Amino acid sequence: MPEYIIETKNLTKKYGTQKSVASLNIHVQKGRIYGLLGRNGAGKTTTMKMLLGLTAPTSGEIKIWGKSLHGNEKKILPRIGSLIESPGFYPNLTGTENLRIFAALRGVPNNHAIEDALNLVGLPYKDKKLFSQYSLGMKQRLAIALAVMHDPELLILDEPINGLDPIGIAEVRSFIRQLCDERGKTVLISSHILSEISLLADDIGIIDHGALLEEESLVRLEQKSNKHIHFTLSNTAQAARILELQFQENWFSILDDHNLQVHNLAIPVERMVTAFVENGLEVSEAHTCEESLEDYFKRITGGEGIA
Amino acid sequence: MLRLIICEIWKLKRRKLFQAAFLTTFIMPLCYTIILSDTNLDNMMSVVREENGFLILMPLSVVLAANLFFEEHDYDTLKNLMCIPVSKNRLALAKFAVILLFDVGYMFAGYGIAFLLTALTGTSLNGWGLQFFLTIGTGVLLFAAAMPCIFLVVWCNKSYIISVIIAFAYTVFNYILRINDSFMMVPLGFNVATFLPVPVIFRWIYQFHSLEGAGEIARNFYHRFSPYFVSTPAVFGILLGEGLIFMVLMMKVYRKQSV
Repeated sequence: MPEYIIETKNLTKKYGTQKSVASLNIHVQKGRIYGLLGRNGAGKTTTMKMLLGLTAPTSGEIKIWGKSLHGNEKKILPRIGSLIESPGFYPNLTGTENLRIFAALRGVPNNHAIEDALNLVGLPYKDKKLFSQYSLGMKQRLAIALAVMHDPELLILDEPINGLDPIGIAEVRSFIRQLCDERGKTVLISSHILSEISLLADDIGIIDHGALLEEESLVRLEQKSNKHIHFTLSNTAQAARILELQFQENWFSILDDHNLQVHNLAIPVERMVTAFVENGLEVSEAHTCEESLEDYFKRITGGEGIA
Repeated sequence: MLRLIICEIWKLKRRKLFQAAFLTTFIMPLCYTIILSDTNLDNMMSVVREENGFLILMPLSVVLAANLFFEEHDYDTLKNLMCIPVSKNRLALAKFAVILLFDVGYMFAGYGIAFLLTALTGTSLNGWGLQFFLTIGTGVLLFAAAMPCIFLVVWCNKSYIISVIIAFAYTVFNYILRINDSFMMVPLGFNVATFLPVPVIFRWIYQFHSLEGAGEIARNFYHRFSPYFVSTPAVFGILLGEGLIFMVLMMKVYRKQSV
């Protein structure tokens, strides 16, 4: 059984009568990058805020490193680095001065940790520029520096590439990958950009209207979404029986009474068509489909896709 | 906790408002020295305590408090602190400590300036120890006296402009009470006058006024007022008790404010 760093059980957050997060069960494995993918307003930030104790769940349970977050915040939170929503810093201070405040409060050995974190995100150490004069990209970099400054075992990053230019995005991506591969960090990252998550994450959770629609490894999702053979025929229940009995195949999906998808492309289409027809089925259409991850997400989120 | 207080002080770096605030300590003692000829240490320190303290320090404390309590929300830094984790109670306590340090520091600076100006005029510096205690003590008491107003500001959780209006209304209200017999000439007990911060502070410090060289009117007022003087333990007990209650209330309000 895999070791879960984060595990939630029926995590729910209600604002009034509206559910922002509904019975969420996510499982983040050690040393892996988990991408929480969803449209704007899907409940990603609320979920992350609950994982960091910034907002209390209405119901459900959060376990981090096997311990309930509630009541263990002082033990758990110092081991986490986070970036939630927009970067928040004191505008009258420089980047280094800002980090110095948080380093002092965290009890981080001062200068080296701050300098290393700033170097890592490509910001100058002891620069005179005030935070209020920073560009959006610089602010985001500083927020990432803050998240990694104390060398946390777990990183919770909410839309970390917001405001970064393409080069910055690539740098942050490779740096997160590096943290995971070389230093064994576990990362929970959220985004509404599918391509970003698919380039970075090992595991993906798709959240929509507060509910987790799917949680799979990227590899498995690609298998699910990539290629399949689509049949339009007179009776899908009978076709399913034929596939199971004649081809010993059960990796298929029945879409409705007349549409069926076979995911195993190793079986020749003509053999399946012949079998269906011989068993009295009318086959009106058979073709190979290549569905992109985006098409897949569109489909499982009810056609809206990812913003 | 000390680290948290130091960090709160670091956050004030380059804040022009606080640098300017400290400069106001010069205003009253300097005006008094220039305008009036009867400068002596007692009168100079009275100016520092009453005019600098009641009129300038009180609203400044509230504006500083508004800045300290609103900054985490305004700059969206509260989430960073909560993730460390720093509890909101400890954060609020650190902010109270900064306000107290500011108040005491302000009165200390006022004392230093008044002391220097008195020395420059060649007047006797007798009783400097008592004056030091009274001035610093007034700083501590004014910190406690500002708490009800700071509570109102934190509870309203509105803009700085509203905070400034509340601060000045509270200062003017207290200053009017200070010259009103109905609140000043009331025995200590379970009555409104006992729990009004500024009149009680005034009833405490006025007893230390020197009558040397005072006119007939001043002497008569002193004797008429003397039955209502408040002792040092009583004034500190009442004010710090009230301050504590409002601090606890503020921590409750601050805790409920969302990230």
